Amino acid sequence: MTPDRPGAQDAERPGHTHCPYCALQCAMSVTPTTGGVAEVTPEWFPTNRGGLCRKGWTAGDLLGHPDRLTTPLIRRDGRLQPCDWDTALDRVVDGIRRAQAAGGPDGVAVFGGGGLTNEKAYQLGKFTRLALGSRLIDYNGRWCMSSAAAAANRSFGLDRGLPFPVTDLSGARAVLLIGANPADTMPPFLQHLGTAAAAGGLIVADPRLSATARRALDGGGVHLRLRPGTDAALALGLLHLVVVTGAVDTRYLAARTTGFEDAWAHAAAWLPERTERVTGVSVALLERAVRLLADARDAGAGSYILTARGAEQHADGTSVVGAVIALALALGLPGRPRTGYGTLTGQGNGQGGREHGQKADQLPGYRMITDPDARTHVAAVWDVEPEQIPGPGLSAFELLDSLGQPGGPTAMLLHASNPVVSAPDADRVAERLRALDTLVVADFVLSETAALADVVLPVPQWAEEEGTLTNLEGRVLRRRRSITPPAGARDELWIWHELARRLDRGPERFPTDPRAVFDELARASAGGKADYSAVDWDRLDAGEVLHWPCGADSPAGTPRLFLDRFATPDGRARFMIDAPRTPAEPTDAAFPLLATTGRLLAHYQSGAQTRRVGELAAAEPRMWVQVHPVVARAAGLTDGAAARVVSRRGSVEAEVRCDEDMRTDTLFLPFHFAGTGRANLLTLPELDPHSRMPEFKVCAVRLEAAA
Amino acid sequence: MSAAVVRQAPRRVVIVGAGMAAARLAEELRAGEPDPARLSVTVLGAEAEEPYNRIMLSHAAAASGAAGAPGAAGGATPVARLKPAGWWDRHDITLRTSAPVAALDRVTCEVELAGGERVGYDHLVLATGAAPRIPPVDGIRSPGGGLAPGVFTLRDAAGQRELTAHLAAHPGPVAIVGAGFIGLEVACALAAAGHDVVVVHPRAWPMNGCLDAGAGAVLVRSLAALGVRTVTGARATSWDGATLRLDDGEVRCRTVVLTAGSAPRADLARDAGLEVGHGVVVDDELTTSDPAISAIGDCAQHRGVVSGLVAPAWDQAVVLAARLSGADPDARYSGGTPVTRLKAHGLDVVALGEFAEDVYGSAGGDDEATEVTTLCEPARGRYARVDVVAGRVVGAALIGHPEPVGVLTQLYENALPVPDDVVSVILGRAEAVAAQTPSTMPAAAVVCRCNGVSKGDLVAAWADGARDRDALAESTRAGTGCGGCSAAVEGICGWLAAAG
Repeated sequence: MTPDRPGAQDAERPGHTHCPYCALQCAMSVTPTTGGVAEVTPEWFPTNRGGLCRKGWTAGDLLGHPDRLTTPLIRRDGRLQPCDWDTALDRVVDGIRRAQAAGGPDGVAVFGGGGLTNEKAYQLGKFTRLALGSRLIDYNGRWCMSSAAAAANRSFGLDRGLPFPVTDLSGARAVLLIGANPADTMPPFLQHLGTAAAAGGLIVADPRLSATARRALDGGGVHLRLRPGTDAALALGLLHLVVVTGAVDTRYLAARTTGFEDAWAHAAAWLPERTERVTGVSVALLERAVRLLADARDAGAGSYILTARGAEQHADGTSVVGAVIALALALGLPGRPRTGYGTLTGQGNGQGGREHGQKADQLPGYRMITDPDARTHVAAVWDVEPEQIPGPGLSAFELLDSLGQPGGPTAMLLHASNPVVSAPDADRVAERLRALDTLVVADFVLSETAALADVVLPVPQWAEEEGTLTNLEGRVLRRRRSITPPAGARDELWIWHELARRLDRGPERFPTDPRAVFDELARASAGGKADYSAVDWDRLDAGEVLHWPCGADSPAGTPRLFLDRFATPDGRARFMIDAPRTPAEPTDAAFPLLATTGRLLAHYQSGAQTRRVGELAAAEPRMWVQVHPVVARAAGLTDGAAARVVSRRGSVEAEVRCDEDMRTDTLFLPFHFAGTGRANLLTLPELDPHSRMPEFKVCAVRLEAAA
Repeated sequence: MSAAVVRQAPRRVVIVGAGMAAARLAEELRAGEPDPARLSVTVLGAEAEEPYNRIMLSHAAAASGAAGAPGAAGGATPVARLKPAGWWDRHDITLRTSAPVAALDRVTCEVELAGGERVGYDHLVLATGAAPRIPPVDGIRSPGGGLAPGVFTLRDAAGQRELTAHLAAHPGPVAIVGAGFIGLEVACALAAAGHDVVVVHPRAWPMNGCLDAGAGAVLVRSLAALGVRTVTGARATSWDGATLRLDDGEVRCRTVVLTAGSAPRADLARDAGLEVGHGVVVDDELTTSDPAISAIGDCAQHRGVVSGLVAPAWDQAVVLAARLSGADPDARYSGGTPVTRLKAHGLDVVALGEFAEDVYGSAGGDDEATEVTTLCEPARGRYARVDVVAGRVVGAALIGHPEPVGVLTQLYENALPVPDDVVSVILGRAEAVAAQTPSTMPAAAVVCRCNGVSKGDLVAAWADGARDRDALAESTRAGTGCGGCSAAVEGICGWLAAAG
């Protein structure tokens, strides 16, 4: 690929927008073509360096797609039928009034998504708290970044996915990825791992020989093929080795951290042989991993540790990330040039989406809703009394699980999410959604969740809207309109304004101009952890590179965090380690295998978008289960056979894909498919005590032939 | 004592011993019941040190007391210590060092310390470990009953310090008596530190308890490469301070290290009338013949087995803590799965389970369910044997193959299905599968994963006039994602160009 071009533009050029999918936010331009299909052209940008994966290349196919919703739908006689906007919004308002008459303000709940722009994420939180007066809002990012966020907040006092620009990774000779498969999930990112891969310094911890792990091996690097759910043990075992091999950075520990001794009290018990026994990763490989990281660090050649959902989506995900951060701290990586720890954000606006108030417990600027000062500040920006802002609500799964229950909400507005496919124990969640009196879904295609709705509101897509997103490195990006949305679609900002007007709850508080919303967001975030107050659209449009915090104290933005101090009260990073817990769901004779789930290159999240793109659907048309051939054979199955995977919660139908490189205790299921192929019919809604992340990544299952 | 007594959660648990099993038990007890008013935990250690990582003793011995050596034990470095200073106090665990227990009084439920002090318990746990076995060698004991000058064992930190000090004063040759895994670890560590080391072993090959003859032969060769000479089939008969005489020959040396096995420390239990076999007999609840007394670790005999390894000791500690803290009163220990390993710089030996009977012999040869895979490469110092019965690993030995150990351990311990291709389990797929070249690659093989471009797509684009990497990218998108296929695309370009 093209290396960093000298003098290459880091800039946001007018006309650029960014891919609708993952948090890498590859730059592209979109040009309308005759016949309704927009043409996508990759643009050079630091994150993607001109690259796009096939999701990005084909992103334009959805713009003029025949499945595109171009008129509101309303359920009549049990069927969704087209209607006009007045009718649809009246039905929504009726539903809200009915729910709140019966259940008070919290009779209505709101569910958001990490795909919303910063402006919409902000406005949705404000709309919920002020127009609806409800405390019940959460979003699908709870199932994405929440464990990494909780752990980073605990250890660093601040959560920004990558606390350094992604390009810092490019020269690094050693990179350890734990539960990350960017070769499938954000392919152009792999360009930044090129140096490490070529140096044999790419280390990938994954139960599968993923495409990323294969890349590591091809370059002479290391694949740590751990048993699913043993990530914390792996991290503590590596930490143990860092200490006993003398790779610990004692000066850094003394100057920049607290709590090492307590961390060591845990890690001391993770003798290499015990770690090997629990994780299945050989001591020799653990030692190699530690040596690679320490040697690259000592040589000043770049040494990084990154986590992603494989490590984080567990009922102890916060502890897992805490252990990984402890490993990074023992090596002295965070908060220094050329070394670091970070997490790879998932959704397109997974970073910005969690900063501006669509989390149950947060207000804009990454402020805690329970913090009196935060409430006072935001109330002043909103021109209300602090008491008018409701308190914390319920986390995503708990919220969905309460729908239609006694005392629970009876109406829900749902945006940019598809929990019928993406929620853990998905059938249980679908049942709760069906129990609602009024389910309102805003989307641009009829997702599996929209299909259950009472009202469906068609909204614009990425290339049809203006706004900002914040990418995986905390850089604020402009999303620009290149295409005119279909006549029947209405922007979410307009919808919320219109609902506030019809409810007579201060429509003037909900402007429809995204730029005005951003300016208010910037003020609301001023002085908060995620401070955007010195960012404005003019600066972004002029091509400035602005990483938050970017406020009064840091008007030029902050590409690299923590170089002088961490964001904790004493400025030191904290070792936060809990004892690894036993598996959330142990295997037994009836459910002897471990299922783990993940993403495919051809699809994005619940697949509502990518399953509709011809090229992507052709590449991965149906649900499959990856399994070692001896495990398939024991179930009477061969490659290509129709199988059923059964957990204590449900069963999934999938085609068998035999793979000699699989562990013989593990099945892998992609989670992008619908209907009987939903991997989340199996998953376990056991929640992390800190982040409320469900246990997506491991559950006990059995494999059998489909009837 | 009636069974009803032990059903009540004990309020005072006293642990005799402060080794790795005891420390883990105390920690798990406190994790299970954080309130010291509901559960007090007292650890009585005979040694002067706080609990430390005993496994590091052999490395520490060879470190010759070098300051800051990571393996240095003896409580001096925080690394070898299992918990940092003050940890026990902070967790409301009473840790008493230099507090050897002289007797148990099961009637009053008290233990008596050597000084006469008595400590009461509601539940007592014996975690007294094992004592080194002293082989019958003339002159090996001093008249006082201790070991003769120049003779050492390596069971505790004090022994390690004495050995280290002696080696510093007498840097000459060292004889190691007994070639079990501990003996060999000591031998390798001392050899690596520059000592001339001879290992004397009475059996035909080292680690004969868990290796077969083929592995033994490779091991002897590997040891020689590390500077460790092995004398097998030989017994030490006498020691005079300068010469260790064998039944066939002699070794001139100033230092003898005894690593001829160990025996459970069961005297307290025996004297108190508990059932003792090789070790203190316990059931699946880890209870001795007295329901108010349990035993774990190297001193315990469970289902006839005394393990001597840390992993089963810790498993027992977890089970017993769950029972005593009330976290899981029904927890049971159903036995461990022995994994023995020797870890020295440049030498990895792992043995697990038990071999199926000799596959070439009468029992295994006709048995279709038994599959024995062996890879023997003496010159490379590598040997692997994996015995599979009915699709499960029953035993394995690996020398010089450190990378598959994790996989094999889990296949064995968790009784997981074994891949048909056992050789690839041992060697890894990377070695087992040959890389493809542009010409051997099938047309359908995907070259650019990010954009789903196959070799066939590239060949077709070439035929349509795309004759270099950029042109191929333009027409097929190959290489426009992660860029990882650039070399492969170049390779195909070159191959197509050469083919004309």
